[in-house]
Amino acid sequence: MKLKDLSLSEFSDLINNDGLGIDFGITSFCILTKIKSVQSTFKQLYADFEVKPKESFTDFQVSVAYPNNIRRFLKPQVSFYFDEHSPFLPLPKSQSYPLLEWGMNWCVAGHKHNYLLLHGAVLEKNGEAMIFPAPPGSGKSTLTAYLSHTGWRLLSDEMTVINLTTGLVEPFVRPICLKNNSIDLFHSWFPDAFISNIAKDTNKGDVAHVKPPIDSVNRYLEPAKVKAIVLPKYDKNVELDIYALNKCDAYKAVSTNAFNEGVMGKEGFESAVNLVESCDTVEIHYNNLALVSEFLLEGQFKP
Amino acid sequence: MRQNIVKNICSLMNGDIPTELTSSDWQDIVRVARCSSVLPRIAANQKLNFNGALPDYVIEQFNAGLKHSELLETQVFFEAHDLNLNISKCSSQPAIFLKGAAYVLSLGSVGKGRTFSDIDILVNKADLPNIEKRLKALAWFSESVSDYDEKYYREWAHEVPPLIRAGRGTVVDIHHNLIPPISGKAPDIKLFLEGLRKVDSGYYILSAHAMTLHSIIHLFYQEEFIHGFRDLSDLHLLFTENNEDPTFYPELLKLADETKFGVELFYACRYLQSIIGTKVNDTFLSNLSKYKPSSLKLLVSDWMFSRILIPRHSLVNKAFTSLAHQMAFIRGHKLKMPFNILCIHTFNKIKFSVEHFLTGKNKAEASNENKLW
Repeated sequence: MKLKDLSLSEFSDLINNDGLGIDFGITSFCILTKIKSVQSTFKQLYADFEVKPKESFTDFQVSVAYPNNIRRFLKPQVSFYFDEHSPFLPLPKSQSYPLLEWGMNWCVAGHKHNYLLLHGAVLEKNGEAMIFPAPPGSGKSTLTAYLSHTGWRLLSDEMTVINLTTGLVEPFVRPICLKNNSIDLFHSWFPDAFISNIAKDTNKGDVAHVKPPIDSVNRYLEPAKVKAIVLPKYDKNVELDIYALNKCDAYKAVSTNAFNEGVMGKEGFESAVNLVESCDTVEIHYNNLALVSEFLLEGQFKP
Repeated sequence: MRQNIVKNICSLMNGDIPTELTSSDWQDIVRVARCSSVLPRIAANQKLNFNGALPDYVIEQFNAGLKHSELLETQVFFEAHDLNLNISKCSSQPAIFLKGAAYVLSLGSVGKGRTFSDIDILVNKADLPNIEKRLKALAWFSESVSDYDEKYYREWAHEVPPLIRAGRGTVVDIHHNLIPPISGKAPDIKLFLEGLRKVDSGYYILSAHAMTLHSIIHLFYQEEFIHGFRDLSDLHLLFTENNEDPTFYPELLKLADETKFGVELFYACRYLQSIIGTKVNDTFLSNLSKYKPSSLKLLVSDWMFSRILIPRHSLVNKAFTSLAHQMAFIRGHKLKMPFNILCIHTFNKIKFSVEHFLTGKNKAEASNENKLW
């Protein structure tokens, strides 16, 4: 059953009391919050996601809540809880929703060591997936939001999930986190897409989350073969430049963006090397997203 | 129901896999084991027996915990090499590894899947200045501590302020005794050093009975019992591992007699039996009964320890768990400090927390709290 098929009373009963279980394929979360704004944003962004039956196993039990102190009456803050433990310092109340999303990423990055996890987006078209490993500020999320609304399937925005046995990339579909100027830009390109309210002045600037396209959500169990690793660098002066990336540099890009390569030891290193060696690797400098899309579909990857 | 969660965790630790559990039962087990830091311990001791007996989604959780503890194990061996080498060059006795690091280096079941945050080492007090100087030259720095804390460490404590290896972030606590001398109960450390073991990897650790008694002292002299259950499970594994050794029990009792920690030893055996169901030698137990506290004292202790030595999680908490933890907090301080010192300490801590409340936490502390990941 999808979240949007729950009645309002079923939804609020779950999210207020026992927790609302959501299936993500590679993992599952049980979400609990009494904060109304978080509830409504969550309900809209995750409308197309599968709800787990009550009483079934979920990997992570998470919540956002007001800490229990007198500060809540003066300058309210919220905390993220993983089970009964809060791994971060509290944030201002206006950042409640992004805090939930970031906390969920933290849970996966720190625990799902049966996959190689990279900080990077994944998009697929015609059965071929592109991985965009990148630190914040490279324009990755803007690129992801654009591609996922122009015919590409979104597998993930923040976290690339590599299956160690098959070498395929697994979907971990989540809302796309846009920052600062890209929020307005995206809205002007795709006025019909749903964007959450903007949380101001977070440590990433202003952020808002875009609802993932329904087709991507529906295919949340469908892995894809990796065609290329594309290192994106937004450059406002360059329409599109493409550089071949040798395997060493490609490994460096993967490794520096890996969440759990070190924790996984030899297995982590080997899977990162296998990944880099099994696909094409390029670096792009760009400001024209349509050209990027065209290159990804028809371009020549190998020099 | 709640009793079952702890019971199931204990049977898993003993190698018995509970049957007929629903997926929500498994979820409760994983949650409670994870929050009490015994998830990797169960996984490590059960590594080969899991497959087929547990649902895949549960095995995944156990294995993830195991990955972290395996990394920690590698790091401990790496750091131990460096520390051992350098301390041996500037002191009269080799570095003796304690607690978590010693468990790992011992290669025994107690070290498998044990998680901890710092490496504890015991050295000769007279060698401290040389050791600190040498380690500082090798990029082991102490974080800036307040003047009060510096005084606390230097005058009253059994250890120096923690040293942190620049670049790697490993923390080492260098001890010259097992509990603060200011408590008036610090043992003659020589008694603990008898029968020192050199393990296969070449490092020195306490003898099995001294290691066990230290583990007991550490547990029952604590102020905070957030890891109470994990620490009790350390003892479970130490007792189980040494149960067949004929010298273990007599030596343990002798050391407790000589160093005056018989009551703590009595408590440890009592709660090991009642909470985890550890098998303890009968003759030993009857010899130990001389340390049994008065019935009233025992009633209070039972009430408190039955709450703070089980995992702390809302799924298993008993009524008044917070009160029991607060009592233990006061008890721990009282044990470690004479009344006049405790007053000074309390006054200072209250003063600092009022300052924090009024001016906010300073940056250094805030970043420390965030270091969890």
